[in-house]
Amino acid sequence: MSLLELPILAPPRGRHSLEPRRPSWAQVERRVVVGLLAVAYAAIGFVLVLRYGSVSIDALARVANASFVLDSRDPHLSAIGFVWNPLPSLLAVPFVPLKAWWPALISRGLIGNALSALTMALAVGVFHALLEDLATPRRRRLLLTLLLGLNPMVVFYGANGMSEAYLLLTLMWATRSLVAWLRFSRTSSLVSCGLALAVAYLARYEAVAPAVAVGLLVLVVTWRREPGTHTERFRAARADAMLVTLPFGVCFVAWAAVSWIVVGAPFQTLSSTYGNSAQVADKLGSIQAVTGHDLTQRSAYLGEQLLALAPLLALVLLVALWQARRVQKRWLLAPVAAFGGVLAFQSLAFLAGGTFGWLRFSLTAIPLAALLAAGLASPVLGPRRRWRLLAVGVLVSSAVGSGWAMTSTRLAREESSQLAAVGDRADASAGQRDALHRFISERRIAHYLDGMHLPNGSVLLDTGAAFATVLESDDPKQFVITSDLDFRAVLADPSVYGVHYVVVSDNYLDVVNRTYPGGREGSFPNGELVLHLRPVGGPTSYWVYHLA
Amino acid sequence: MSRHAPRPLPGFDRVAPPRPTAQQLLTHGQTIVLVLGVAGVATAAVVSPLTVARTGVAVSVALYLLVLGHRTLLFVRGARTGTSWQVSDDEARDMPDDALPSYTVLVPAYGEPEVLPAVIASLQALEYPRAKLDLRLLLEHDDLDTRAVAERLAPAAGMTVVVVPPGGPRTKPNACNVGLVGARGQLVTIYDAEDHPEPLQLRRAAVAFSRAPRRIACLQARLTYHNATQNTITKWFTSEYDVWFRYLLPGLVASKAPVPLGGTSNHIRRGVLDRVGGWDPWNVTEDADLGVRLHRAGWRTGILDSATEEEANSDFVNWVRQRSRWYKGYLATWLVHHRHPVRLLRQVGWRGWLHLTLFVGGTPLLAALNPVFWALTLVWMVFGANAVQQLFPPVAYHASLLCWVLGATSVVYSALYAAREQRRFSLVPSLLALPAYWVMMSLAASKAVLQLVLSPSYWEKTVHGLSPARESTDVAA
Repeated sequence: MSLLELPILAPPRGRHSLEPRRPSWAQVERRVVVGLLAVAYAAIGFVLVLRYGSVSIDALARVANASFVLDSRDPHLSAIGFVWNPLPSLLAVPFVPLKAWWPALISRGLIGNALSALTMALAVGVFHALLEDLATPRRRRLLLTLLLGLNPMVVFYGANGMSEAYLLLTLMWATRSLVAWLRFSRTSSLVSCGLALAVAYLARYEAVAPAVAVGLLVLVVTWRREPGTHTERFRAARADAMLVTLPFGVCFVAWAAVSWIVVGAPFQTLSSTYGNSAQVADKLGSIQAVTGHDLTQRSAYLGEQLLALAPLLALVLLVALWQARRVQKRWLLAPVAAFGGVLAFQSLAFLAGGTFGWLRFSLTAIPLAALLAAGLASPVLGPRRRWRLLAVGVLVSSAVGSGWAMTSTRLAREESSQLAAVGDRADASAGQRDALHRFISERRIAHYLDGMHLPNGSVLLDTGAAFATVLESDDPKQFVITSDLDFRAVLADPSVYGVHYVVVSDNYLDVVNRTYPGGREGSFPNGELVLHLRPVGGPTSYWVYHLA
Repeated sequence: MSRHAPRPLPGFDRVAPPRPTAQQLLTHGQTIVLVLGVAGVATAAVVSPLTVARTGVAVSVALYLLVLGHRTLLFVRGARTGTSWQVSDDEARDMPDDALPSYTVLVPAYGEPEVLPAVIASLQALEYPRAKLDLRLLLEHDDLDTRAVAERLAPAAGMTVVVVPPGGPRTKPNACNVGLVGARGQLVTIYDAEDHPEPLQLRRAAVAFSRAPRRIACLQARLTYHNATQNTITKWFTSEYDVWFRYLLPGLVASKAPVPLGGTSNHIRRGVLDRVGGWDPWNVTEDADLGVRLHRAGWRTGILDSATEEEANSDFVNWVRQRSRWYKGYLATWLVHHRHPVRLLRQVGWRGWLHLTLFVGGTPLLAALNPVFWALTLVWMVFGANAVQQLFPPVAYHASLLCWVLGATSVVYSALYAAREQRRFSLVPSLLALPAYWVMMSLAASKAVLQLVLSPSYWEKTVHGLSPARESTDVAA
């Protein structure tokens, strides 16, 4: 049985049996589609990185964290980092030893691309399986699946190694189980949904929103569905809501507890200097210049993004909500709770001024529109001639809109700069040209230091800024990095601990920079400047000091 | 360890005590292995205590992972449909009386004269032809109060009173063995004095046996509690029984593993019972022992979809005593069946052995180990990771953290699932406090380990009648 047919992911169909069944046509089709998409996404990702040097910073940082667990001077699991949720890095950890066989897998972050490719392909596979559950006829099922799988944003985020793919897979899994529960009331489907939401939280913290939304939905649905007295109905609703939210709750508390015990703060993404809150606060000026200074401007900006990613979203959403008044169509609410939950959370956070407003924060609009359109077109709701075409239209317009949006430097700041490398356009902005040469300085520093064959622990640097240096280096053990347990002590007095070189940048994230601000002006206590790199692949300058 | 041999009764030697028996807990071979093992560990501890501690921790963590993973596997398997024998009311009543087999019902009782009228009423309520029913009340010879009530009520109810003579171990299985002498039923079952079986249970068992393959020698019915909501302890206990009888036991059956039987409501073919030697009079969980013995002899156990109501222990001290007896018995059962490990392996296979060890051995062992790791966790939380991390080899540290979180969650979650499926919603809030129940289990396990060494066959009698009485009809005295 493949991953998609495991009982835990698939809603139960009739009598269970432990005997293996021959795979059905739909299963074969699904496996082929998933396989082809995974290979395609991975290939695109590899080409982007190797041929065009177009690397996503966040994706490489996740791989870096994974490599610090095994490959650093002080290997320990908590090097995984507590600012971002651990799943993407954890999944890369087993592959770190492969660096010896193919260095680029880790040093260029290709493993991240491979993993996100597989994950996004699986997400599309679960979409296909859900369409099968909804009795969608074969041709339309394949067409809709391919339209989703070939949506430019979906392709890009499958290829580039970022964690959006994990969120999409887990939410798709949760949606499928939730639809099954809303239709057939089997508790095992609720359990499956609960587990999916828990894993979603381990992937990205915004899974808090769908967990709450799904919990509320389940509470209300069971309350209305159960027979019996008020007390019985309430108790049943409470039990069901607990079943679907307990796994998430445990992950939430456990992760916060581990973070608290290991680094002293439970929610580092909010409190840490590397976390989202700090980054937004620092870059507020440049964010607002693009996205708008007040609520009206930000609403307009967000509206443009959503309209581009999924032009017909508002239409399908309103129709679905209207149809979901009926009990037998209630399952249309499942994607609204799961994907809509994340979308609402991200949108509200952006409107409140708390996020960067990247285009990918609205990525969930695409599967949401796709699921609602496919759901409205499904034969389970009765003959739907009008919706058959409309569903295709929703997905096609979404693909076209996403493709257009990705080239817009205003709406898609991250994506357009990464894609500028491919286009090699003469009208590329400074930011886009920088993206071509990302990490060049960091890698130069690595080569410089490697050439000196230094002993372990001779170089001090902050991986919050210069993680690419450690990734590129042949000898990661020469570095004293932020996740090392003695980092703070070494930072306070480097020469005592046998550090010979210190790397300082003018990146606001760099703690070495903040501790020794003179480093930006060319002076370091006991140190002599040996290397100075002006901004090349980004706005950051680097200074390397040799300590006497 | 008492070494009294039962004084032979006429006909009693036809039901010889089974071999192996828990009368002697360890054979010479096992004792040698144990002594060598302890000596080895002690020497190593003197030479390098940290290594011994770390090895112990690593082995324990591995055991935790295996047992908890195994439990989850059983639960998921047991949750599938089709694992129990279903006989509808109509099907049960359709079988003509003369096609029904004769049935022996053994009811051992000790020191509970006030409970007798209720159990006699329950037995009267059983829908089974009187002519084919052989009801036997088993009493100890010195239990004069109960004997007096029994001798007054039993004849009118058509029950035979069997008095267990002095000289044997004072245990329920010994009484049951004695009760079998002269019993004429083709099927045998046991009910405790506080049990209320569902009236069609015997008929359902008879029909199921007629349908089942010959290899099925035993059918275990579900046990449940009528005083589920009395207090938190009964709620936890009821949840545990639900999980056990509706998920874990069916999971064992689906896994083709040896099935430790429940204390009552196990319906067995008489011929098979005789052949495997009846019950072990020296084992305080004779039901678990019989289940394993049946499996080793090639017979299989099924689950019967029928319920018997019992009274859940609502008193803390009483509960700990009962649970310590169960754990002691499980450990004794595991030890006894490992007298000839190679023979055991050949009879149950590797997988069967794993199921047996992880379930019968693992359950009490983990409960006994818990306090050690809880203490370590407290140290970890108060004094920080470093104090504790040295005791754990690298992988074991994170594995044990994972185990703690996932293991605790999975047990609570599965209980929650069971409560929801069985619609016992009033149990749900108490399930969030389940860890306190595990503390109770650990108390019982510690007591059990102690008693295993000092008095393995001592039967701690559970006090019944602590809950508000169930509605019952009184037999006219």
